[in-house]
Amino acid sequence: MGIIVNLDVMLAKRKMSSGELASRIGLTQANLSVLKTGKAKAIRFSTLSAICKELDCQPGDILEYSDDEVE
Amino acid sequence: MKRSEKSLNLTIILLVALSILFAFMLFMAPSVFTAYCEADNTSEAARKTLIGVFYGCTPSAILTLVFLFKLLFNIKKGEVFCTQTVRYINILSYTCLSVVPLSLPLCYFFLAGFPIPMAAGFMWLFFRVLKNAFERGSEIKNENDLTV
Repeated sequence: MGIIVNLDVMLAKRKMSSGELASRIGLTQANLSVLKTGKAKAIRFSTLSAICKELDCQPGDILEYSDDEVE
Repeated sequence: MKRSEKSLNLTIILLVALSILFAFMLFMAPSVFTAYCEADNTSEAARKTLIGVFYGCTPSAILTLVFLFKLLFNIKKGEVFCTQTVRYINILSYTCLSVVPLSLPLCYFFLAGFPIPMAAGFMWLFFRVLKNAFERGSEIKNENDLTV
């Protein structure tokens, strides 16, 4: 499974839309959507830092590791 | 106009020129090879082999020209490191490979014909390496595109 992005949860907690967050951190909505839907292969520290600053949270609030390998 | 654009346009012009030359040879090959063989005093069998090899390699040549044009126009559109480019380069490698067995009969009559299948074999390998490079480039681009 890997890294799960819980951006939707934080956006709902802060009552902010993804469009608003995208414009605040200088990202396009398409790119933010790539992150939200878990299709991103990597995230820059600068982007993560900007998201945490706008949402007033820690990286761990947005990113979660899951190891759901079936034995 | 950027330097790379000028270079690309020059390549397209050269490819068009080569295509025109090839089209000319397509119709003139029997006359040209007959004149050459008469001047060189080569046998009728050698002349027929020369013409046969030329027309045998024609489908490969046409495919090569078509896919080189497709590749160049893709590059012009900015679609460089993508699966389609890798596919085109793979096809180009096989068109070169197909020339190797087709041109071998030339070596029986013309010792100087030996470089032709050798060159075709090298070009096959060259395109294979290029395909591997573009494949890796496509993977890296994909990863970069999905880096937020």
